This record gives sequence, C-alpha cells and structure tokens, in this order.
Amino acid sequence: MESSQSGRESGSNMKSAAEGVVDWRQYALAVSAAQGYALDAAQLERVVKQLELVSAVAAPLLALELPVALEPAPVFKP
Amino acid sequence: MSGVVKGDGETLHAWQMQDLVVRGEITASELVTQALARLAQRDGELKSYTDVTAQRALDEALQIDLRRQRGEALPPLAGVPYAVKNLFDVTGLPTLAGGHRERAGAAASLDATLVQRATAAGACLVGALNMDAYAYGFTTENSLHGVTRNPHDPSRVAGGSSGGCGAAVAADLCAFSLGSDTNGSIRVPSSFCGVFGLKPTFGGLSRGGSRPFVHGIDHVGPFARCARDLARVFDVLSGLDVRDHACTRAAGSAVEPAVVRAFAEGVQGLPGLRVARLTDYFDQWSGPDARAASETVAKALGAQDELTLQDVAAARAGAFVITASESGQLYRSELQQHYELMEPLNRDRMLAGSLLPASWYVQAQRFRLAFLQQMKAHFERYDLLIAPATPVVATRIGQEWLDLPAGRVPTRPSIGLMTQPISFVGLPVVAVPLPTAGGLPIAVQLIAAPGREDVALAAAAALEAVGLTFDTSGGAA
Repeated sequence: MESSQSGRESGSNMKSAAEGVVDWRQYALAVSAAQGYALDAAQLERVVKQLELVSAVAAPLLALELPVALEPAPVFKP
Repeated sequence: MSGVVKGDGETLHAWQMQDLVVRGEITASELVTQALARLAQRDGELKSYTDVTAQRALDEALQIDLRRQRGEALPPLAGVPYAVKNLFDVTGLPTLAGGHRERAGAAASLDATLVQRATAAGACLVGALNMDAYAYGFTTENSLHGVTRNPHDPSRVAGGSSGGCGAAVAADLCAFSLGSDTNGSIRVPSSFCGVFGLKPTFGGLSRGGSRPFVHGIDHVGPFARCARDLARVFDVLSGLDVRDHACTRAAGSAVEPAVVRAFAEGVQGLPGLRVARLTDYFDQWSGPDARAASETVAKALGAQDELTLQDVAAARAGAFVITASESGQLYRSELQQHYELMEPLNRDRMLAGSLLPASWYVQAQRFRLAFLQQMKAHFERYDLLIAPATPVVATRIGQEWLDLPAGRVPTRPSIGLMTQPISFVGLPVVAVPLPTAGGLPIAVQLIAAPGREDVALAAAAALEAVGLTFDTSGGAA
C-alpha cells in the first residue's frame, strides 16, 4: 500500500484505485471552470501535476471499503 | 555559546528565567534586552522573525519589574521573552500567515487568545515568526519573507510550517514560542532544529485569534528547550474559549508537577509505563537516523512491543486530502483574484485541492473515525507509542527529493509522512530531539492517548534526565 505513494507520480493518465484511468488535464479544465478559475496553459500544467500527486497519495484511502455506519468526523473530538 | 547571562554564560529555560526574576537575581527588562540583542545579532542570517515587537516586550518587562518592586507575587512566565508564529493576531501588526498580500492588510486590533493568556502570565512578546505561506509546507522557504535557516547548519531549512518558531528557540532568540500544527508543523521544526515541541490533543489549546488553515485539523502549541517549559506553557495557556468552538480542554489540571517528578526520577520514575514502537510504515519511510532515534527511545523507555498500525498510508492520505480540500476552499477567492501574488511553492497545490471530488473528502472524514477507533483500542494496551517525527534530519534549502527505504518522494509534501497519520486523529504528541551520528538533531514522536499530554511530557522529561536528548543550548552561537 505504501509503495503506491511513490510509484504513481508522473504521467497525466493516472489509474486511481477508485476511478480507473483519469485524464487529469481534462478533469482540471472542466472543474476549474466550474469553480470559477481561468487557468492559463502553464497554470494548468502545474495544477495537473498537483492533482496527479494528490491522486497518488490518496489511492490507499480511496481503495478502502468503509462500513455504511461509519460517520464522517468534520468537527473532530478525539 | 551565549544565552541568558547570569554570570556564567548559561542558556536558561523559561522556568529558570521566571525563578531568577522572582528571586531578584535578574530583571525582566534585562532578560528582554538580552533577547533583543541576540536577535539583532543573529537573525539577519536566520530570518526566523518577520516582525520584532521590541517596545511591547520592553513595556511588558517593565511592568513585571514594577510589580516585583511593589512586592506583588509574580505569575508563572514573569519576564520570559517569547514569540509567536505570524498567524497569531498581535495587536498592531497585520496577521501575515506567511502570505504576501497580508503585509498590506489591516493591523489586528486584539491579541489572539493564547497571546492574551501568555501576557497575563507575565511573558514578554518579542515578535512574530516566519512560516511557510498559509502554513502549507514543511520547509519555511517563504518567497516574500525569506528562507528561515537552520541554526545548526544555515545551508539547511528549519522545517515548517512553524520554522521560525523552531529556529528562534534553538538559537535562543526567545525562550519559547507558539506555533501551529496541522500535519506536523510543530513536530517537523522541532526535529530539524533540535528543540522540544508539543502538539496537544485536538482542541487542547484555543486557536482563537489565529489564522486558520484547515479548520478540522489545525492545532496550536508551544516550542521550548525542555519538557518542563512545554508543560508550564501548556498549563498557563489551557482553558476553554468562546473564540474557538473546538477547544475542549478546561484549565485546572496542571501537568508540570508530573514533568518535574519525571525529570527528578528519570526513567525509573515511570514504573509500569506501557510503551510500543511503531514499525512497518514508519520504518519503511525512515532514514537510518530516524530509525536509530526511534529504537534508542524505545529501549530507554523500556518498550515492551513493536506495533503495526493498520492502514497508516490511508490515514496519511486522509490528512492530505482534507488539508488540500479545506485549504483550497478557504483560499479559493484569493486564488481566483490574486493568484500571481500568492506563494509559488504552494499555490498550485492549494488550487488543485479546491478541485478535488467531494467524495474523496467525505471518504477521508469517514475513515478518520475508523482510524481513531483503531488508535483508541491500542491505547487500551499501551500508554505511549513511539515513532520518528521526520524521515531524515534537516534537508538542504531547495532540496527537491528524499530518498527513503520505501522509495524516492518529493521533499516538500513528504516530510510529514510520519506526522500526518497522527495529527489526522488529533492525538497529543511531544517531539523530543535526539542527537544523530552526524551531529544534527532529529526528533521522535511520543504519542499518547487523547488528553494525556502529561504522559508524553513526563516521558520526554525522563529522557532528558538520562541524558539522551539533544543539547538544546547548542544552537545559540
């Protein structure tokens, strides 16, 4: 599980455990527009790299099957 | 070595300074004047401060000295010079949070809650400290305010995001400092600069009047040169606060006495302490120095077991996703309107965070509860868990990659590999610095059950007592 963090940090077509092959450039174009950004080409490339990084790190989390009863903890009380 | 001078050039701890002021062996004004002189001499190179509040510190010191002259009892931090990460509101200063545009912003009209409480306890505020912009980073390579350099090797970073906090305490430019920790921002600079750091339980200290980064994971806490100072500052600053709805720890249960006892008795004074060293994930991401430090502390504290946590990488991922999502949302308007003025080292990570699918964020929040349940079950069997604070000693300024047993990873997002899974579930941690073979420090995390800062602080003091910890006066040139 840990090795996936370092093994998927290049290339724009990422295979996410949860979502299959993702074209992060297309994703960034679509979602950034929906979020009110107007990215130029250089910004887009940098954001795509960051999405690839987060996707690689997130893979072991997204691969987990969580029980339905498990609640979110947005206001956290240990 | 310089330091607070009592005639023998000794670098003193905060509790010792207060004791000397109470006994009339030094004045608060002298302590502050000496700290300001060291700051003027050393910080041109280190860049740990972004603002110096000299007049305020001198005014506060004078009030302490006048109180003593009147025969009043002095409070627990009387005359102690301290500084705060520049995300805490300080009356009269713009709250920078490491940002560029914020320098031109309005000055704060009210101190942050912890600054108010430190002032009430007699501490004297010397200034505000450098940090990674918006608290998003582990290196304090700040494009506007400069790189905070490591007092032990100026070619290396001080860690982040509270890098100024670690460097200023290590170099004796203040006796203690207050920082924040979302993913490791107290523990990483403690490790790189060789000082002690306390990340309390989530909600353990008020964040009132501090600039948020990730509401759901932000913690605040102290840096100091010994465990006893951490305990005293924690005791003084504790208490509920209407300015922070997540703050759940009431004042009143002092931890300092247990720490004093542990220091006097050493490891022998911790009978029955149940300790385990965390392995697998933590060993895989540890360089040789980190691994050695973890094993040294485990042996010294009589660790009975090695423990494998389940799904640690998922916990780190959860912290990563929540951080990216919440901070990206928090700064979305800034990113839309002032992208060019934002920190180049993290603005794209933040922007990407604002684009992440909501399902990832919710998965992270749901898993958070599961991971906490796992950790709480382990604390049925153990009082303390041990893991390195950082994979390696302080990295070089501009270093792009870390080569670790489990693989090569980019430096800036990865220095928190060891710390993120722990703060993800809000556990209290004391970062204890140890020397390495090469001479630089590296810290170990002493991780306790929620609300048991006393256990971790007492163990830290016991390690000091047996001489295992890094010489925290060594950064004062």
